[in-house]
Amino acid sequence: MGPARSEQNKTHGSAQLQTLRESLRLELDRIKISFFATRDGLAAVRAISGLMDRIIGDIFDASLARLKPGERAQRLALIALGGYGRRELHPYSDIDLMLLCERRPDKRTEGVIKEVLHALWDLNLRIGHTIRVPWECGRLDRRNVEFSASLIDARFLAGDRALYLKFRHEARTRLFGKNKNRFLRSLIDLIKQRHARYGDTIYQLEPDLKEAPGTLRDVQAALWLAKLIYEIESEQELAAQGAIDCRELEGLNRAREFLLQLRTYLHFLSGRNRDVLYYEMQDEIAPALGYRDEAGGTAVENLMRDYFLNAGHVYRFLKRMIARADSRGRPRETIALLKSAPGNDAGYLLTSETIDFENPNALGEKPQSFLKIFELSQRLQLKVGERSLAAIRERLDLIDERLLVEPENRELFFSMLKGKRGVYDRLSLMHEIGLLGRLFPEFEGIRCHVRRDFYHKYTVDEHSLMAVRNIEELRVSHRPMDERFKELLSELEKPELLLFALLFHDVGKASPSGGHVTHSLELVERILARLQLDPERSEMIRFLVANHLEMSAVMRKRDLSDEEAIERFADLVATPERLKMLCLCTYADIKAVGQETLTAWKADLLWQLYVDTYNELMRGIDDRIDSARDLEALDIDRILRHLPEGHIRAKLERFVDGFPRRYLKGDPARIAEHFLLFEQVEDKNDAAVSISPRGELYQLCVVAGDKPYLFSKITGTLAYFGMNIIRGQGFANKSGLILDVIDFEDPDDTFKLNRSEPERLRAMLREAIRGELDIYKLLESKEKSVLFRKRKMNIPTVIGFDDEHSQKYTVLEIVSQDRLGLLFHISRAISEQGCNIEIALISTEGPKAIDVFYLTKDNKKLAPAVQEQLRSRLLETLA
Amino acid sequence: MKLIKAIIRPNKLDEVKDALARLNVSGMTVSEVRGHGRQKGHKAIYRGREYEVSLLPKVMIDIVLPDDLVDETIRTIIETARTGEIGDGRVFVLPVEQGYNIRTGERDI
Repeated sequence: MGPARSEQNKTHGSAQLQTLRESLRLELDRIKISFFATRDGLAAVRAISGLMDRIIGDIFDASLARLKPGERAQRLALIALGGYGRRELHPYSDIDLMLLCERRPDKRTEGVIKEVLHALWDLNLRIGHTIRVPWECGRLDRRNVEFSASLIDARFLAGDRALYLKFRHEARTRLFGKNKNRFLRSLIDLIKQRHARYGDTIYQLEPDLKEAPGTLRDVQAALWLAKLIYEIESEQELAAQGAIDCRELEGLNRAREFLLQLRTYLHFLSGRNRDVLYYEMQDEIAPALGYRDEAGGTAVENLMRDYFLNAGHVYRFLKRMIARADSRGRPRETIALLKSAPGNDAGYLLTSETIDFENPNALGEKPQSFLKIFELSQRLQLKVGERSLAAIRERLDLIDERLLVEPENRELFFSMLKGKRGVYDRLSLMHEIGLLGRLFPEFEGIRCHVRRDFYHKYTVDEHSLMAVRNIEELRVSHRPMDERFKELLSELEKPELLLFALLFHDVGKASPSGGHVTHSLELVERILARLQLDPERSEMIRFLVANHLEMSAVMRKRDLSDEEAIERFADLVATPERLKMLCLCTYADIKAVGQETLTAWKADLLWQLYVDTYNELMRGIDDRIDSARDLEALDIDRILRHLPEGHIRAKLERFVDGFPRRYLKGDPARIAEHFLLFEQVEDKNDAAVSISPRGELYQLCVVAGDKPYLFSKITGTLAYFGMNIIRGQGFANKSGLILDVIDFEDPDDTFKLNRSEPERLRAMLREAIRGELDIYKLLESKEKSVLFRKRKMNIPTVIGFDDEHSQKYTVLEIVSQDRLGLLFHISRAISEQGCNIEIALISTEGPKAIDVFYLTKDNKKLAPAVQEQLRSRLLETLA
Repeated sequence: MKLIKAIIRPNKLDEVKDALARLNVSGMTVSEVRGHGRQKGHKAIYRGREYEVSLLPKVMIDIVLPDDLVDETIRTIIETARTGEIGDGRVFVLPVEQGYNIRTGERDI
């Protein structure tokens, strides 16, 4: 609808039309002035609706009156639909009309209809019209569900009221009656499709006020659903009958008024029916609505914060209505009761779909159940019931960040993050009701935080949650582009740490100045200290948060064919596991900026960097220190600090001389431990062995003089004990001393069941290495047992030799299906060919074992013939 | 008027953009493209398996310019984007026949 502008269209070019146009313009101006004074959007849209009612009614009556005496049109009623039907007509919005006829219109009736429409068009009003007969209105047209929905808001304007009432009866009994379930389903589908177009989130930085999730279309959709579910006509009745909590309804109405106000402003300011709240519009509207720059944020940020709070309210209300529609008619009886334990946990009622507190009123003494219910809901894949959500929301002041200091509660949170699906849903629900912010005030700081740039489409809190969602969705993605990242994800040892880091990677963005990474890291340090998380997990989280921009920076700014750039990046990540974590962190972070940000092109670049760095890490280890200058550069003091007093620098230097640079860049405390082990070695034939638990794995360290078959004796002894090798490294120093560090898993819990076993393994390893025990013979009998029965082979063995990569060694890479004793067989075959293992890099990734050996024979690279022999021997052994 | 099409290494984009801004070249279109010239991709090995990377990620910049600015712009792009290694990219210059502003519908070239 626009004020009368042109003089060209004068088919009804009477003075009357002119007057009408003029009065329309004046009235609209009056409404506009009054709106800018009061900022009352609801009043404005009501006033515009009223104005249109009068004009349209007059035109309709006049057209009927123009019929000659004795002429009679068919029964006809003029009905307002959609926003106009609800008396919420925005300036310049479409006016939806239905012309309801008794039956298919005859010539005379058509004449009346035409006259009415022409008159309205002449006023430059934007009319959307449909001509219908009553019986059509009860039908549910799957292709035009929106029409059926618009009938819910139908309002009589002019004409035959009895006909209108007949239509109304028809529509109600059919749509609310027989077709109700199909109607509900179609409406919900429609809502979901629309939400999907907006990435299923309300946190749009430039939202469409009419269509985006949480805006006016959702207010309407929620009320339609509510009216259908409870078969009630008006909103007041919904509250009166107790179908909807009246506070809920009040909140919804406040949100609606806020959105109406914004949209009215937008339309008046732009002079058109433009619904997207672009940045420049936000800049203009915020001060106009009375928002000011304050300590907590600029005027625009404050406006948008209000927007997100209101949109959030609408969105949640709609979600609740959808949930109610979904669960209608299904049995709701309790299927289980998790009894309240004597400790501080509450009891829970489970149904086939939901989990609720047994007694919400007794939560005061059991605040940990606030967290527990989410963890249970995650584990059991149930929804947390509305009743319980409300109970938590009301009692948020009972808990704060100290709850997670308790290790048991902290692990509940991590256990939630381990879930394969539904983690995002739980976390965002916890965020919505304010629980996440109570547990992590650092996260509350970025609630609805707006960072304006060309790229980010969502607020910082939602961006972080989206990043979590991206990892979750990757697990089930079937897009070809995702396959390789999906494989990485399945190989991660502790994916929950990745999710934790993603959740908090941007918490520093709310800090007023400086780079956000530093601020994020400070806040994350605070969280880690409070949680008293073990050093291993803390280190990984810290690493990811501190470097979450690094990989994309290298991708963008460095030439990936430049080996030095790759080397530097490999030094930064240091281990394949950290590389994988960072790669997926980068993937999820870029993708959470906007739906289209991670293009296939960027994904390729990311993958290329990953592969190059991975290869660098796996194979670049023959870069050993071999000069006094190298030693100086090493900063031996760093290691000395971890040793008891009295240790001599020269001795330590002798120990590390010849070790790979990459090893020596690692954790100094660990190098110190290895040195202490080295000091226990009595002579060239002796070996020092230590075994210690590391998380769910065990770590074996062996320091021994180099000798043939050493590696196969070690791996053979582990196999004899049924231990599964997960990863390992082995290398020699200049004086011919070998250091093997092997992480293994104890699949049968041998160590837990029998406390003397670790000591027995340790003793046996020493004996085997010293040659006092024939481990091959022992193993032979054991290999005939069930434990060693061959599993089905899914992964073909691939063997590759590379003479170019290293100056001194032949690199052998073997990929094969992981199984008990695999390394033993490989290393024995290598030794049988008279080859010496200089460096071994062992890793398992899911069911795949990837082993890299740096080999020599008689201190030289392997001759081609030797390589062939070794290859066929290995293939034979591993078949 | 001429259309300059420059295909460069992705990591050179920021530098080239900055250099062009200093020349007061304001408008440009940047696209993520893939391709190969003489470089013809390379073989990569991941976990013992070789695979071909035949089309390498590149960035393409399109700029429309008056004839008298063309030489300096090309020189700037070449100087900024060059590493001296294979794979530095290409610059093409094409004549432009007409140009229109979509918002106003006016022809400006």
